[in-house]
Amino acid sequence: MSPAVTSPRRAPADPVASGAPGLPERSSYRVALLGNPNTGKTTLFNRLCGVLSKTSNFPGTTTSARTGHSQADGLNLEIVDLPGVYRLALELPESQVCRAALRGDSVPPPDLAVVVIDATNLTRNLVLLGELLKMNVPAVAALNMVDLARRRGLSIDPARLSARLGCPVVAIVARRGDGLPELKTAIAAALRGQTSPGFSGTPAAGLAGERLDPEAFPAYEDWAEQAIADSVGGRKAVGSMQDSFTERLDQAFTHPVLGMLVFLGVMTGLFCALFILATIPMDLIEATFGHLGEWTVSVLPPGAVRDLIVDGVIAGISGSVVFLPQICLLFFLISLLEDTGYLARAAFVMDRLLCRFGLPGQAFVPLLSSHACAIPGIASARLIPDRHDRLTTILVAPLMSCSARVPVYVFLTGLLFGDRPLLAGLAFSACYLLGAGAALLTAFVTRRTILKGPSRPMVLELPSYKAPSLRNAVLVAFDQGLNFLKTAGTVIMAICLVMWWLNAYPHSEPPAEAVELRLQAEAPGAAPERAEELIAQADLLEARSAQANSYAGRIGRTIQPVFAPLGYDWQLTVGVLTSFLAREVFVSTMAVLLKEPGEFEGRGVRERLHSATRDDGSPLFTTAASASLLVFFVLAMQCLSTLVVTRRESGSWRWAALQLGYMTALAYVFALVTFQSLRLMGMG
Amino acid sequence: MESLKTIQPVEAANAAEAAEAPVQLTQLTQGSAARLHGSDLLADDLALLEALGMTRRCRFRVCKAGDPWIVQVRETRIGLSSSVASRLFVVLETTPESSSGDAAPTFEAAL
Repeated sequence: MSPAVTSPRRAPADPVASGAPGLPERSSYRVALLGNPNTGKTTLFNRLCGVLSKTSNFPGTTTSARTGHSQADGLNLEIVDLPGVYRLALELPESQVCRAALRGDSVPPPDLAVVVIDATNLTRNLVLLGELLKMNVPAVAALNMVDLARRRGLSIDPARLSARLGCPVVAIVARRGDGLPELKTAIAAALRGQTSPGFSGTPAAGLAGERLDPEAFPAYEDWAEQAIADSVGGRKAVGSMQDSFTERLDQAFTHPVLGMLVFLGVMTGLFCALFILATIPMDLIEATFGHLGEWTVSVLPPGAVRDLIVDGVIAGISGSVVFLPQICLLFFLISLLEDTGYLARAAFVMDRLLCRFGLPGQAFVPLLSSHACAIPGIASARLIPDRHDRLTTILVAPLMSCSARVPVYVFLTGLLFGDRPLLAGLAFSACYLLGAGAALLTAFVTRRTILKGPSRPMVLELPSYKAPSLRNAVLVAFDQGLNFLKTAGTVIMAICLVMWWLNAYPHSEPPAEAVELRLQAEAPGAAPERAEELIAQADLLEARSAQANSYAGRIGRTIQPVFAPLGYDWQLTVGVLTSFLAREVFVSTMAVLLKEPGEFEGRGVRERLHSATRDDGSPLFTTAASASLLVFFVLAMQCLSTLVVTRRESGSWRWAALQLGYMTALAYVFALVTFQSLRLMGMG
Repeated sequence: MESLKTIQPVEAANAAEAAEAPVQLTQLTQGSAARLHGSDLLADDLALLEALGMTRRCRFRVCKAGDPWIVQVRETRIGLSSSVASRLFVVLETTPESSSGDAAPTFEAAL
């Protein structure tokens, strides 16, 4: 099947002067950055544009593109970093996106394309350049990693290569910034229609008559090899390709046992770093927003406006920004790992396990990341090239037990096995296993139903091992963090506002008991300490009353019959509903709902909740009800932020709705079975 | 073009033919050099392999035998899961034993 590749919407290039469109002077020119994966394309983009870039999806796709700005000899450039592709003629999503972008199907076509070429791997890279030239896109070739090529004994003559290819060629070392001024000069000259030094000739002259389709590969390969033969020396020095260091590392990293041990070690280090290092900024963010809320309370008079600002806006922004350290740190660490070349090897280690369940090896990063937080986990699913593989991974990632579930696990396992720490620990571990098992089985079912087909067999280029670039990692982290705040953050805040409103309204009259307590506190002669205690009790009663009478509380009472088979009364139902915003809210909601008057100080929370009762006086947290809740929280979605990110990454609310639906159904059924089984065993 | 049509290995009638007879890539040992002959892969997967440089025109070397299989074509190291490797049929050119006198296998196209 040959893709119908047509020329971009522009006048055919001047056959005598490709790379020299001679565009009229204008305020900004659009330059596309194209290249094979692992050629240093992103490094060059970062060098050209710095941190001021914008990430957005190509229209109608979930493939992201970064856009940045740069200057070249007085010209303003808008640079678009296209996805890494091996060939334009392939029917892979990235190739389709690049072809559409270069043709100008859904975005303005570029005035010029800069093709990043790995100087140590010329043939494969030049095939891509040949395809681009066949599309009549003016091009400048950035010959990257020439330092490495020199070390390997290659001597490349850029001028001769330029003449053979029919487009300007500039030698650069993107990591160090070498050759960047010359590259910018060549870009500006090409845009102004000037001929670059050392360049003359017909673009891809040897490809006349060839089509741009997968079948024409040999012709492009011949063209590339002829160009190389005429302009590259020192080939014998490269004949020794047995890099024993690389081969030994590959043997170790992909070994069934040793590879798994290395993988576990690397991932343990990554997640320990994530948990430990992200905690500090997360605590700082929460404390800062906490102080901001207190300050706002102190300066604004009580009322709806203050409630909106403190409990809606500030809490909403805090709820988004608090994830930022985890997201930035995760992408920073992943970028470092990816740069080293290790991730491609690790993908093969995990492929052996995951392919049995219809998931690709690359899914291990999203799934493991989801143990910290499903949000960065789902975002990192971009590493997976196949759309079905990627969607399956996104759908099941929230089943992995994230850090937000930990307070709920601690609370419920403590209720179940408070005086038996060993059993509590085992139950805690079982929660993680249940989540992971459910994720794998769900993936298995998904690949046999809605996303039919086996996971794509692994064919991966194994990049050279090299030292990671800190600069790149920082830029990637910054970019991903900014992207999260701009897209997910705004929606998360909006949803937080809605949930706040449901919890806060309508205002209800304070209960008579609370009014009485306040009167007692204000009575003349009341001891200050006693008055303070009475006011605290009154606040608590009012909070319980407000929660019960709020829209969320009323909804909880209305739909309590739905949760009755799971062993939940209206209080537990309200707890489950309010934690729909975020799981960890469950514990605080229950603490507020179940606090008894006269017990503001004294017994511990766990002890108090353990003896909490239902309206009929029976124990609230029976063994069956607690176990049912535990299972429900392991499997239920209960995280609006995750749904928003799923929508963003999948490109449709349909997938987010499906995720919410299947996880809620799964949680309900398993919680029901748990409760009813234990009740029949006399633990209800 | 020399398209990589799906083929099945055939019984060799004689020794000369046997040397040319395609075998599954998974039958090669580490250090062997071979050329691609055909495959049972889906068109997209095959096109990706071809774009990576693994064509029937280009010799490759087996860097690692066993899941995952690692082969080197020019300067590109390619990892292949066993399910892919077993669907690739190749013609063996040199074995590690036959090239043991060489310092390293030579490749006609280093770049």
